[in-house]
Amino acid sequence: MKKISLRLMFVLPLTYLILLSVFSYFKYPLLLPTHFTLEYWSDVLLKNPLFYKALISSLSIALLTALFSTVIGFMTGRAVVYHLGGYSKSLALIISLPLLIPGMILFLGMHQILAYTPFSNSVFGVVLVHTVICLPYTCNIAVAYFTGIPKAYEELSKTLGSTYTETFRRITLPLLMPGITLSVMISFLISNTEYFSTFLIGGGQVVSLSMVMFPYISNADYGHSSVMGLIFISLHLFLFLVLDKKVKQEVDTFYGGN
Amino acid sequence: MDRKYRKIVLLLPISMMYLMLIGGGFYVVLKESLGIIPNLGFTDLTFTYFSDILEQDDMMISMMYSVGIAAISAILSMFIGTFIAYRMTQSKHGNMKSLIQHLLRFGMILPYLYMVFIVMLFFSQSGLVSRLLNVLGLVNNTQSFPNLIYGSMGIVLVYVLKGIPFVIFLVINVMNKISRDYEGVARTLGSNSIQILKRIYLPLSKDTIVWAGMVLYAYDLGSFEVPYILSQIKHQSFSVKLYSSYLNPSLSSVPETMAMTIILFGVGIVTVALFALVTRTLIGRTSR
Repeated sequence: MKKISLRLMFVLPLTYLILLSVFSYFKYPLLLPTHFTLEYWSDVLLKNPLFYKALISSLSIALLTALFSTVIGFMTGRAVVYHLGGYSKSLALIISLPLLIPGMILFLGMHQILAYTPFSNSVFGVVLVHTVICLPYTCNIAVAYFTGIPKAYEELSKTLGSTYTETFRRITLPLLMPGITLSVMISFLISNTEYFSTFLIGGGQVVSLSMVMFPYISNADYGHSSVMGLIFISLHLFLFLVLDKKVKQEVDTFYGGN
Repeated sequence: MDRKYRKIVLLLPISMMYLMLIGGGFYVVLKESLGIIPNLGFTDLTFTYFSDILEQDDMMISMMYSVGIAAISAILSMFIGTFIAYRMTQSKHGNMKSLIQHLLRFGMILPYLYMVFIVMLFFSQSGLVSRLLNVLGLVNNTQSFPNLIYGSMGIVLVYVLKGIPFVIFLVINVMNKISRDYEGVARTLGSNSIQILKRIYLPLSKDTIVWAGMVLYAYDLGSFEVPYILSQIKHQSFSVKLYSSYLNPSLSSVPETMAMTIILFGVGIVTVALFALVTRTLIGRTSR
């Protein structure tokens, strides 16, 4: 019984999204929509000129954010574990700062400062802002994975005569790989689920998937919202499926001993 | 020397990001709120904008409203999330666990914006729940089903539904690492499962639970799209208010908006700290 109700919790919304995306008539007391149509799909996929632009810019923003925040996160993780003597409470607090300042205020501040740079209203500006909000997560992952690697491995490799880069490429990097995949995944997801920051920093020049979604949802337009939702969900489920094979112990190490 | 150099290089990017974007943003906003915007012809340092804002009554009301909504949703998510995480660590059914993992993933993938739609689909006056009750003969028309989503209830509902997976995701890792021996001993000594949760699991995962709650609280406090779509005209959350004042085309309102931002920043930081302190004590009390 419990299992069935649990399964219903995500089968039901998904079923309704699929049904509502292809049936148009859903007047009040009806439990299931009727009147088959492909209009909603064609509206979004063929008639909305912003959709492909939004898809491309969403993906490129998310990929760049994932790249930046993972690289910077792992650099920081390395410094924290090997040079600063571990993850103290105050250090954790400083790194988590972007999560503890209410988003609205954080973004308004960043919007103000970006106005002094050439990056306001550009994809790169949005990437910078998304990187800041992903960094707490990627740093945490990096610290957890660096802590998990015994320091003796690197020392041994050095004793055997490898250089710093060789040790990094052949010992450290392979051991970090699951952490890196996880960090890329998380930051990709965070960047793609952001609405307000993209909208504010992009200044109308940058269009993302959630921005295409917004008018449909705020008008309570069931058909189009369902189509957008299905596209969004399948995009990320696909990503998870591809990367899932690579990361087996993801959850165990993430946020380990916080 | 080499080591020291390496440390600086490794820490440079994150410090740059934080200092320039967060620190720099704060500096600019602070300067403008004190009335120094040379480009617009404001040059005198003054605190009048702050006192102007603080004198507005509706400002205080919407601040309290936002703080209340964020606190309620964060606490509910912490409570429910922790409980589910505990049940999951206790559960011996493999498929049940993988099912919940899928559910979690589903909840994490959806943006807050989309959760608004899901909540609408199910809980609005013409939503699925209302239709189901209609079939069962409990509700006659859309008007006899209560309005659950436009207003505070809907906002809390969206925040909680998004918050629960986040809490479970973080807490379950910690709970899975707690040695089963403690539990075995407690059971031998006659504890039931609620006592085990209170005396063993809660104290050991307290930090993570409070941490998750803090992050959720700060997020809910500063979220824009959810209250924007779901709020009624009667109550406005401060993020919506702040944004509409930010959009005000009149240049003379700029310093006031910035003063508002600074005040809300202060309120945000103080209440986040307070929230952590209070929930920490509460969990400590419960587990005694």
